[in-house]
Amino acid sequence: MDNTKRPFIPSRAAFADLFTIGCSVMLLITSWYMWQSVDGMGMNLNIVVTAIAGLIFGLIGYYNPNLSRWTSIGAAVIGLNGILYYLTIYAETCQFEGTLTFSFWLAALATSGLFGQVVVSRAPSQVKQSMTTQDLTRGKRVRQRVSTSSIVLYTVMTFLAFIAMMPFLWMISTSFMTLGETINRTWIPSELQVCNYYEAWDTASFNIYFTNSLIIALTTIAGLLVVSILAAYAFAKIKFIGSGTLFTILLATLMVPQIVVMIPNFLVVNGQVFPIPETRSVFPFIEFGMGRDFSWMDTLAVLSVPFMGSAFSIFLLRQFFVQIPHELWEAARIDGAGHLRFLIQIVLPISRPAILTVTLLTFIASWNSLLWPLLVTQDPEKWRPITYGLQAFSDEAGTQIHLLMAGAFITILPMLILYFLTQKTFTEGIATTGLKG
Amino acid sequence: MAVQKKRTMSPLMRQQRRWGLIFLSPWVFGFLAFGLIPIIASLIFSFTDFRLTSGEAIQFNNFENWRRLFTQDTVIKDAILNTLRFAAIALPLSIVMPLLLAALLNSKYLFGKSIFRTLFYMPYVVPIISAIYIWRGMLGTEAGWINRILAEIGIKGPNWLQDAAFIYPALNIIGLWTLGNAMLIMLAAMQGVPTELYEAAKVDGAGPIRRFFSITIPMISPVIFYNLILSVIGIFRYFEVPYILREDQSANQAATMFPNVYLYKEGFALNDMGYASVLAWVIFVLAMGATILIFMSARFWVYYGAEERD
Repeated sequence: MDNTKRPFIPSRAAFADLFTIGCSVMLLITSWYMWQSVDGMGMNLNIVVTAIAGLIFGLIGYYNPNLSRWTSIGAAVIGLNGILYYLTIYAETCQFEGTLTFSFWLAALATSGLFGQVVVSRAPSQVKQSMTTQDLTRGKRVRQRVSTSSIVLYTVMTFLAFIAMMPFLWMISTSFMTLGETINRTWIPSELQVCNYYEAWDTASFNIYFTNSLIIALTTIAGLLVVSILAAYAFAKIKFIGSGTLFTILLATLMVPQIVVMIPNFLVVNGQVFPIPETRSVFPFIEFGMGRDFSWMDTLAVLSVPFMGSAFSIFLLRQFFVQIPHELWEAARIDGAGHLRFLIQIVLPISRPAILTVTLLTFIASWNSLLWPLLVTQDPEKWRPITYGLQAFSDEAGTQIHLLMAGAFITILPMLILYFLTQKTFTEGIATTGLKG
Repeated sequence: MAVQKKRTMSPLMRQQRRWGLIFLSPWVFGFLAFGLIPIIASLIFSFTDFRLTSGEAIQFNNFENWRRLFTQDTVIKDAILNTLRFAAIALPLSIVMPLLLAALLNSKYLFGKSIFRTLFYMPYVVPIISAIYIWRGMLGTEAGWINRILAEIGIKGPNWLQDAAFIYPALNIIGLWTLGNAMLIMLAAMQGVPTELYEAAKVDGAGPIRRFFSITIPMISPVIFYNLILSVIGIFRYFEVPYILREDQSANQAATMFPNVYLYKEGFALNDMGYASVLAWVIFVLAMGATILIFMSARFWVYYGAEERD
């Protein structure tokens, strides 16, 4: 419709690549400037390499749009490396009470740009086109009916959204204050105390908890996907005597409050109910952490294995698998495929959205879980996750609410980033969970 | 399919059964190890004097735990009453508020829905522990933003967390922050209601409010039912918020004694696993009872006509 009339405007993908190139050039210039000026920063190899690599990625992506997606990921990775590098420099200056110059901020901004360009959509233009026609009609209809009710609606919604956002605002505002400002009850900090974040990160040893939580979440997801995909497939596509009963049991477990099985589960992983195998003998190749003899306390296994058979995930995937037409299975079977082959080659590729939803929900549930870690991780040096880390930090930080809020924000941030990056899949996935309740 | 099944009956069925059991075995194992056996074990433990600290052998103690529950224990009675007080506000709110927000979001006058949807859903992904600390600050008597905003308009804000009259509203404010999930599910259901129904009703002269109550609500009643079940289960697993707020003495101790908190205290602070198992069974039975009641009520108000159930 309108795309044929403007050949000179670069496409969306090209725009992202130009953005990458721009960031790299800016980074090169600022690193040159920092080298020249007597900042004490010196000529830094890390920055220069990041800038040149970003430039190469950008150029490849611009001249070869097919590779654009991959070069964008490459640029994001080196951008992330750059961001981490700046964070370490910044942490050092926080310790030494130094100040940072304008060029430093510029370079940091450029690296963030390198990382951030990955968000710019590089979707093929067909999808976009159908979207725009829809948008246009919707826009027209709305424009015809701008009325008092619409104004009232906007006022109400903005007000409600503001209320919902208020706790975030409070947290962010407080996290940038000095201790004095939190006591004197100022609304907004007079100067942003970015170093609060460094202090919280450092004193609460969030780096350990952060990696712990990440590993726990990824292990849980890996195990859960295997268990629940197999089970969901069996419930959805294999008819056999007894599957109905088992499915009823599955649904019944959805109704049991978690806390009811918590005590016995705690005793199970303690080895008090029935003898459990030593974690090392079950997972010989993975360092699951050494438990005390025949107890899973303070191991990776205890934080991940009990959540792998999630009834909710099985239910969700089953609802999706049921919709796959039976003819596909018939055709696959005529071609000589068994259930496992059919599952891997046909069902899994079709069900990507459902699997992604389950993955995201599991990641969030695992990252946010508190009650179970409270019970089974007693040694802070081992597998304590970030939520427990924050709880322990709260006891430590006590009245220093600005540090506590910085810690809270550190804990929340990965979830928010994940949510914004996967928002579309996520909201659609959630919406379908209730539809067949 | 049915015909085919009959024709190749026994070998195919045996094969199907074998594959089904192989595929299900990881889950069945997990369910036995972390579901069924623990539940049975906890029933057995409830008749014993099991303590984690004492190295002695576990002994049956002659229904001592259950006798304590029915004759001596007043805490559990208070805890259940607290749950009822909390639920009296929480249950209606947990249905009405998401419904209201979803209805507003579903309005055709609203442009840029996705921004509002994103904002309302955002608190749901926040880890509960962070949310608790944020709200503890927000609800603070002196420095909390809520009381300060109230002070700006000339109202003296209450001591939200310590005052027994305000603790349940405060807990519900914290709970309402994460209504995004229910809202999203209801919104999706509302978008699935066929537009012909609304057009027909309009022709018959029904106003927007009439249309909402006579078409939207009945049509999405299965989803309301689903959310109601989730809320009820949520109330019986309500633990983190009162537990953390009690820990540092920032909340009223008596009013935040919920059954789960009590269970945690008995089992893991006092190490009395036997009595904690009794409490677990009390919670289990209450939760099951409430769920069954709601399921039984479903046929009076849940409309399944538009959905095929499989």
